[in-house]
Amino acid sequence: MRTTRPILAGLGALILTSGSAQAGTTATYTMSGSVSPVCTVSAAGTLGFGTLTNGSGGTAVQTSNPSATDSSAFCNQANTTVTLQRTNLSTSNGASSGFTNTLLVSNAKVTSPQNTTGITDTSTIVSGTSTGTTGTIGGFTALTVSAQAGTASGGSTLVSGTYSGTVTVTLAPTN
Amino acid sequence: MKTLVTAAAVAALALGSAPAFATASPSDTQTYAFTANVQKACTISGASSTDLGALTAADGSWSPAHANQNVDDTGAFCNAAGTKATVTHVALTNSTTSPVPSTFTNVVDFTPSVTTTGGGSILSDTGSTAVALGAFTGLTVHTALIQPTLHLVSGSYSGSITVTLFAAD
Repeated sequence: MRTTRPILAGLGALILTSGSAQAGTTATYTMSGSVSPVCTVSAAGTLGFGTLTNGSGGTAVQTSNPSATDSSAFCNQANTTVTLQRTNLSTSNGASSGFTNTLLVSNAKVTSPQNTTGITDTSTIVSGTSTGTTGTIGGFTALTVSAQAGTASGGSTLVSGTYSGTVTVTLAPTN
Repeated sequence: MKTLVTAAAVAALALGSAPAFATASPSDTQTYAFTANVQKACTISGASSTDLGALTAADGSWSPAHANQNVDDTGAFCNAAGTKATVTHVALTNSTTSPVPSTFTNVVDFTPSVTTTGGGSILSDTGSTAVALGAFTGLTVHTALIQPTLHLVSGSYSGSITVTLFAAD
């Protein structure tokens, strides 16, 4: 009896030891944090089309595609959408018969380093401002706005003067 | 005679008893062994959740509120001197944002480490290989955020450190 008891006790301890060593004891410590949404378009730029006509008259010859980059624009919300609207180039100077004071603007576009395809406003201009085009621009670290001058409205000759128009970018930040 | 007999008997008794005294006089030792045991006890008292707060400033730039954060597990305890442990971690991730724009990221990695209040060794991320920790009292889990090279997309981020003890004497 004296010999048997210690052997049985030893076997019991061995079984307990190997069982606990295999299982392990685990705890998981969870960390969390957050990044606040930021979407800014810091400055309005100017698209300079330069001279719109040739030297011999009021025929529109402008074919450049000027752009303006807002290098401080920033948005960290990955599914942000943008709505782009445009107006035509126009002057307040009166246009008599055979002339026009409006130059159509097409291909108004906004792009970013992260989205080089960007969003192009292909909507029609009923009057004044286009109805606009909306698309996903995503997160960005800068925005570039461009537009292209088209033909004179109605194919007429442009009256002289200073022409201006707008391209408006409206952000809808979305995570 | 009576006296002589008595004396002789005493003498005989004395002679007779001498061998008996010689046999009993050397010291005799017996050792009585006692045994006991201390059960291994290795506990990590509980999983906890720690909010590291904002990771960026108002302009979206990297500016963590808590770049280094300790989480104390004062109830953690292990009395087994040969104990080993693994420490693994999952980087802070914003898994709800998809797709992640180029030059942006939704992951903030960190360097985890585990220290003890008493005894034990200091461990960093061990991967799946258990390394010696020893007996200890109290655990402190430390997080050192690593600044990402890309901009962070907005949203909630979560990650974890997992400590597993393998008790051994």
